[in-house]
Amino acid sequence: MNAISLEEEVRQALQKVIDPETGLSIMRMDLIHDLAVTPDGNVSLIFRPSSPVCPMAYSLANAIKKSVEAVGRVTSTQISVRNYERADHLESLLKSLSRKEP
Amino acid sequence: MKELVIISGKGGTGKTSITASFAFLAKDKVLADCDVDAADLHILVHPRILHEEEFRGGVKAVIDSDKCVQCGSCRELCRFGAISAEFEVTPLSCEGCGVCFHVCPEQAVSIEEGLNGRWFISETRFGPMVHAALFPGEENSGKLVALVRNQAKVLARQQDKPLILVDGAPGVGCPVISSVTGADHVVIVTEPTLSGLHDMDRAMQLVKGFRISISVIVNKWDINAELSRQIEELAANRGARVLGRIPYDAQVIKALVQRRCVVENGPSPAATGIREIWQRLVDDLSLELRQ
Repeated sequence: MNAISLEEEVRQALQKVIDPETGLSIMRMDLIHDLAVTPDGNVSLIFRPSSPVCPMAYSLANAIKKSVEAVGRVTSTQISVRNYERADHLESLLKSLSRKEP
Repeated sequence: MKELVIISGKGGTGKTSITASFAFLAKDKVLADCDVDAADLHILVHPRILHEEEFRGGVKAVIDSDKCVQCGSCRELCRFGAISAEFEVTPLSCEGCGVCFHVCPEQAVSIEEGLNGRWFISETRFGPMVHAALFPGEENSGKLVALVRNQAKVLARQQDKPLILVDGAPGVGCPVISSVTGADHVVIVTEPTLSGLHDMDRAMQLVKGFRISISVIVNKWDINAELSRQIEELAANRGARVLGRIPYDAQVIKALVQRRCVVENGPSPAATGIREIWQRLVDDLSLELRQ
């Protein structure tokens, strides 16, 4: 029960991340896949930028990470990047920025 | 899921007419009309709008007449001539660059978001379609194209459609770049005129920059057989596949007047050419044909 409400909190936080090009929420743009939240606050998700050369991917990934980590009970965030030319680099950057990951 | 984008370089080569014919011939697909500056695919596919939203992608300057002291700084520095002698902003001329906002000593200028167009999700006689209409003189069509393409992808995932058929914008500007980035394949429709040849070449160079495979269709090839040959030679030299030629055919005009595409209207030289070309695309891209 606790995990479900935390997942809902995370979804609501992600709804507020807006793609500046389309003006739509990244959730509505279907850029977040396989969102999983454990009862103890570990969040994992897949971020799929709208194109393999999306110029906003780094900025959006950072905004995603910050918005998830701003949810009080989240203890760690793991973001995998797919369908993006520099996915490995972006993923490693996100890991290095991580505050809550062990 | 595959995304096939049809562009033209030069406008008026028959890109949308051919896209509509492909839409008729393709099996399961979502349509996206990304020619948002002059959208017209809807004329042939008869959409019934299911969902409609505003598009706000640009900003314009607004001068507060109570604060303005008419010093003239903004008018002098505006490169678009958008500020009148009465110190009012002409919306059609304002590009939203913000120079007036920064130079105004009285902070009388604000930059405000405007309504630039509308976008739609519709059901058509050929399947679902995402489309849009930018209002006259409005900017930021590239942003609106990105939105239309994205929502077409979302719809295709939701409805498990294997193909997105995109009617791209003509030219090589922002809306074209926005139409093709990340696509699986681009088809360039051209015609045997000098501008058709030249603009096809520019469009090919643009698409190659994104490392996307290209094929070329020569429409109305028989109005100049020699230029058609030169187009095909150039396309081949640039590494593009020449999918085929479509002859000039008055049946195309007759079909358009009836708001139909030529492949719907029985056998004709153009319909045969388009069907053969579609079959080659289906084979190239491993698509499925309409049953």
